Amino acid sequence: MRKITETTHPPFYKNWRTLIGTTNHAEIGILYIVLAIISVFIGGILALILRTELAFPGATIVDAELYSIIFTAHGTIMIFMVIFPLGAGFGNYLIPKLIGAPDMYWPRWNNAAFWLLIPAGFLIFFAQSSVGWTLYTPLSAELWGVGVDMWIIGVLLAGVSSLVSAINFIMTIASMRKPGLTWGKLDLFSWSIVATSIIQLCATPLITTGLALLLSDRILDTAFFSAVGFGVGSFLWQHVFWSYSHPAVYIMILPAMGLTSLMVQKFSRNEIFGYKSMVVSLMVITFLGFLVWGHHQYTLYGAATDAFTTTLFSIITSLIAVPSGIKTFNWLLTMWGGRIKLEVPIVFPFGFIIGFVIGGLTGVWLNIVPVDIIVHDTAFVVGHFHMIILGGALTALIGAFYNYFPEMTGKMYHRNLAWVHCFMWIIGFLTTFNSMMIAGMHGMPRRYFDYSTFSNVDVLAFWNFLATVGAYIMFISGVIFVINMIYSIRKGPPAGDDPFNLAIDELPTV
Amino acid sequence: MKINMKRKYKISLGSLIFGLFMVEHVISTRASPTDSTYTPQIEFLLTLVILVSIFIASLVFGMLIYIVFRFREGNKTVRKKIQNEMRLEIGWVIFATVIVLSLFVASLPATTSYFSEREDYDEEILVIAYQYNFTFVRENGSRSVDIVHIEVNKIYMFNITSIDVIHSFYAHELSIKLDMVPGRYNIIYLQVPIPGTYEVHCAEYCGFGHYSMEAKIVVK
Ligand SMILES: [Cu+2]
Ligand SMILES: [Cu+2]
Repeated sequence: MRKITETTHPPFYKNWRTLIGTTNHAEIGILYIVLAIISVFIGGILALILRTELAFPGATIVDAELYSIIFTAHGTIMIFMVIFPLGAGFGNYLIPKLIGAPDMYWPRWNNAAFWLLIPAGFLIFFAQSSVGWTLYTPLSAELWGVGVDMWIIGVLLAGVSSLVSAINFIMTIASMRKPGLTWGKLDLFSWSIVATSIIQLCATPLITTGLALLLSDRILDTAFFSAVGFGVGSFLWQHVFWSYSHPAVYIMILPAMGLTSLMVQKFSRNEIFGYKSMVVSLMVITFLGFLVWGHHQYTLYGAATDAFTTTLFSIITSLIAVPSGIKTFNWLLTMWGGRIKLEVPIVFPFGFIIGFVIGGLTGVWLNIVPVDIIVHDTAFVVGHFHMIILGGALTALIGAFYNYFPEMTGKMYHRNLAWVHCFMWIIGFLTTFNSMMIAGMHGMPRRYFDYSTFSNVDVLAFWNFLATVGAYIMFISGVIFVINMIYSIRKGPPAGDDPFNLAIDELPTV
Repeated sequence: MKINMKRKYKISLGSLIFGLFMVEHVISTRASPTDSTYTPQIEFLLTLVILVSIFIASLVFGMLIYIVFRFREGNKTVRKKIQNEMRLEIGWVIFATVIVLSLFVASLPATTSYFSEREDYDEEILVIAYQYNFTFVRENGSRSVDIVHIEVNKIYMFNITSIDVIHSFYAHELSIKLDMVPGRYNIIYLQVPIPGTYEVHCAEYCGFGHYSMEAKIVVK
């Protein structure tokens, strides 16, 4: 593995031709990660504006219109510009190395997939769409203005990018493994990228078709999703949208799970517990993930309509808890009997396990149909999926960044600052998202700009204020992270071959 | 008021899982009573799922803390690999499947009662949503905007729809929520045993004024 700062002369990012034209998988991986770090601050500042607005009842810093624009941009940027690129970034950086390939199967397409994201990001950020990332019709089909169209085109571009990189990953892992590396010996991160790519390959065409037809509804006055009779247009959109967007949750979380497997293995200096059951549960999650989208629609049908569909989706969804539980259980037992070196890159995955367990269990609540009826579309749901995506996926991905930082830059990060970041981050997300869930249980609907007319406004204000405090803690820890990285790249001590003093020889060294 | 207290405790029980906050003052601050005929079943399920979650979360977090503490580098302890990998895995699969399926089965009666049709209602009320109000149309033809008066213990069939975009009819204290979809008539039955004024809010994002869309159900 080339160390970027040492062996490339001059480094690829110093010259715009090599920056734009690079086809090296590690360099593209780093580009993805840098894009995600820049975007997470943009999305994070948007989130802080939302949280600051909600900290006190009544209008404080923004108005209702700007609030809607901001939560739409926040959601989309965090999904398509942060979590997806981080998965693709670590995939690019690690996969060829893990499977012993010189590069990806199609290096130029790999480069194109990354650069497609830049116009996508600009379109999404400047679109000022205000219909939420779920684009429920007929609102999204009818809302006047060019913003929603720009947003749709931006997300279409991001979809093409993720499709290209998915095909590239599948081809690379399927055909470029070093001799002797059979599927049965493949590491769990490569397996998770295989699963992620399968989901992207099968699910992205659904949203692409859906968005293209919605665009045609908006521009050409067709009526695929804006048809009103019996609510068919709205129903169709929700089915198309969630049949992509539920599997998309697994696009976000599976790479994080794979990285957690690697890091738990590495820092406990132990072999993975239950390799086979890890792979099988990964594939079961991938498969079941396609069959559960209807759990977003339990409140869509009234009495005497569709109890059958509802119970069917409910039972399949509850089964997903089983493979997820197995994975958690196996991570814990992987550490059993090991020598656990407590470093930042292993404590972040512990944060992942905490977030994933709380988020997963509250997911079970949401799947109990009568419970879902009271908490659906409230801050409870928002807290739940942030607990999974931020508390789970993003936390593990940050841990992975600390893990590979010495290798990427040849420098060691400042350990104490990293510890501060780690603990502030975990405390921050637990505070924020637990408070949001409790506010939701008290009846705080989501996407509300103001709750001052509620009869229990003081309770809602308390939990919302606490959630805002947590958000600021997370943001400050993020600033500490960036300071640490910039400082360490310039002045950090050389990392050496074994930056964490693990002294592993026979176990996987990734 | 009794049932109301129960939900308050459950909410604080829920936050106990996270082991983060004491919510005693929250318990004392919630104002209005919580009840409709759906409430007892939903409250039961909420308790059940909260207890199961507390159990599983403490199991996992307990294991995490124990393992990290015991097997941390430099700690003197017996480091033996786990035997019977297969048996543990199978045991865990069975345990998890039984738990999630029994939760599913426990939720079935409430789900069916929520979704089943009734013939014995006393009055039908048509609720029409539009940006950003609710209009209630009674059987006798009278209309009211953002407020509806109903009687204690009578069964009402709310026939709800929208004329522009999707809204959602959400009365937190009555444990009901149902989407209002243009072109479609969704039905929910409501029977309230406790007099009082209950808030209705819109739960589905419907435009800039979404937050301001609210109504009152006055039960006498
Ligand atoms: Cu889902
Ligand atoms: Cu609304």
